[in-house]
Amino acid sequence: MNHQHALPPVPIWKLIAVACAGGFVGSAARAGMELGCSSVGLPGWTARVVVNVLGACAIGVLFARLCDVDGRGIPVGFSQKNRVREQLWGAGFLGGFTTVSGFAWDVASAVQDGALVRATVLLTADAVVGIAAAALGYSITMARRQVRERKGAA
Amino acid sequence: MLMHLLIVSMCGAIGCALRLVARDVLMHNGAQPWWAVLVINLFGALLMGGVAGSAQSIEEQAGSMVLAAATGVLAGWTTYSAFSMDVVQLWLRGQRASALTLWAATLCGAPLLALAGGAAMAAYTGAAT
Repeated sequence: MNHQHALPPVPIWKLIAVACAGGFVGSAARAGMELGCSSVGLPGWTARVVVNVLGACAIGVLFARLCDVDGRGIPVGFSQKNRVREQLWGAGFLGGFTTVSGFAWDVASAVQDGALVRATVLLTADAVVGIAAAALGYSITMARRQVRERKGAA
Repeated sequence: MLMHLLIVSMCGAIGCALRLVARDVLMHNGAQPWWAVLVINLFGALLMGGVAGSAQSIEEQAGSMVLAAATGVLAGWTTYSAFSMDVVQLWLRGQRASALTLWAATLCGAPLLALAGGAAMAAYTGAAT
């Protein structure tokens, strides 16, 4: 698409400002999830499992909607316009919403407490369920997009 | 509670901005995007071990708002969503060894570094008192 090359590249300060705004809302959503879980008596780590799995699924969907793809449906990058959207919702909102440091400490404290079941649940959720959620979110959305684009081309 | 929420959100936004700057710097120095996210996440896990492992003494000495600010920055700094999408993208592109390396390094490395951060902080504060 030629018109993309006509646009100047998005300046870094703009990408950072956009991600800051997304990160503010995403962090608030995560803190809200933690408060919500604790208000129904669930420990904090359950909230962080939920945000990571939800966030992984959401970024799969987001990428499949925004990225440029090659013929096999594999992401190759973003157009300038979608780059800003990805910074807002992906790097910003979902980056603030999800947390690896929280996961790391949850596992570490489970190990320190000798709570092996809790550690196993955390590792399974983040190592298997979360990755599967991202893969599913991406592949389902990409399959629907390719069907739609084929219809549009026909 | 509202104050807590506001501090976590503001500090999360700062963490996000710092992550983008760090990612940009790392990539300008030749790091692959997934490699930059790995370094960011592992560093955040190490620091989180130090902060969360000494949460009680931080809260007593500096107050619960400082604790919320520190954990907020670190939670915004690290990202599980970018990590999971990087694993999926590398896998789809056929870079399976890189995908598995990123996967294993994050999931084993982050908790281990958090433990190390906690132990280092405990040793430091133990030595200081």
